[in-house]
Amino acid sequence: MRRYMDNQDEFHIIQRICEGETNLFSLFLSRYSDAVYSLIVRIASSKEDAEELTQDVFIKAFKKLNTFQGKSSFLTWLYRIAYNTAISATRKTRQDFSYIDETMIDKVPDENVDMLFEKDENENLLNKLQVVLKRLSAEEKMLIALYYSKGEKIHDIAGIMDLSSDNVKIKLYRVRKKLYFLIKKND
Amino acid sequence: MQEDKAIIKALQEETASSLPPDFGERAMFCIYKEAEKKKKQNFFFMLGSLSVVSLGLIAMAAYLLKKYFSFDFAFHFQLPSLKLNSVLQYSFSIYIATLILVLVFLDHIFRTFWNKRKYGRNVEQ
Repeated sequence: MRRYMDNQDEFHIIQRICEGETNLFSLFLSRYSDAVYSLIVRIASSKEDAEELTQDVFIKAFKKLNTFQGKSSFLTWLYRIAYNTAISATRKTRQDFSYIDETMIDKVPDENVDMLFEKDENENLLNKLQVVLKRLSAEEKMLIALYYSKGEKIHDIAGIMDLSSDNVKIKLYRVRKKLYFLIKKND
Repeated sequence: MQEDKAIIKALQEETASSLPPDFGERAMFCIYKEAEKKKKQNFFFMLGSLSVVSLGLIAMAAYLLKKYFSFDFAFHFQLPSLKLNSVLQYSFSIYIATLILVLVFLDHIFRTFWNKRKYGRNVEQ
């Protein structure tokens, strides 16, 4: 109910901004800039780039504000702009990520992946995970961050990444297997 | 999948950095600039639309005058003598125009009432 009320409040504020009360946009900046930045910084090449991209996201959001229909939360809508902005930026710069034979990933059993990642007490595993997370592609990093870090629902991630819900699920399973494969390969 | 505690913790422990304290201020400066740009664009768009509509009205008026009125320019430097063929044939047009004006006025009244109820204030203020 609270979230619903928040969305209603935000929709009201958006309408007032569209009518000319530009200063109200600072509410969205203070509320969401850290969330957007923490998503972008995972794939940007430097903190400065991430900061610049975050600013671009908010400027784009301001320009397109009249197209926000309130079908999703304002933050999910911002994540969609952030995803597109960050992915386009990383396409311009060369990103190094590991090439892995897809058939090798398919051979990884689901049970092994579940067992490896279900506990968070193993410091050694956490260190290895942090290393292999950096070797994922920009799209994969975004997917992992949106699902595990931001707690976005599959349906919302599908909207953000312009994919179907089934496709998001498949991609998530593949990324988990890829992480497992990379950890085992490094052992 | 949501039980992948190891992935969640690894993501949490990744070097956390935050935005500089003046980020909001700098971003708002860009937003104000963008708002100014938007305002200018809207102004020029309005100006363009008004020009097109005005030219269209002038062209339509010229066409109607040519078609339904007759001017006598035979005598130079004399005011043109305007002859209205028939006033009655325009009565229907006058009726439609009045009806439109009434409907536009009612639309304005209901819109203001609706906005007041929806937003709790007059949006025109």
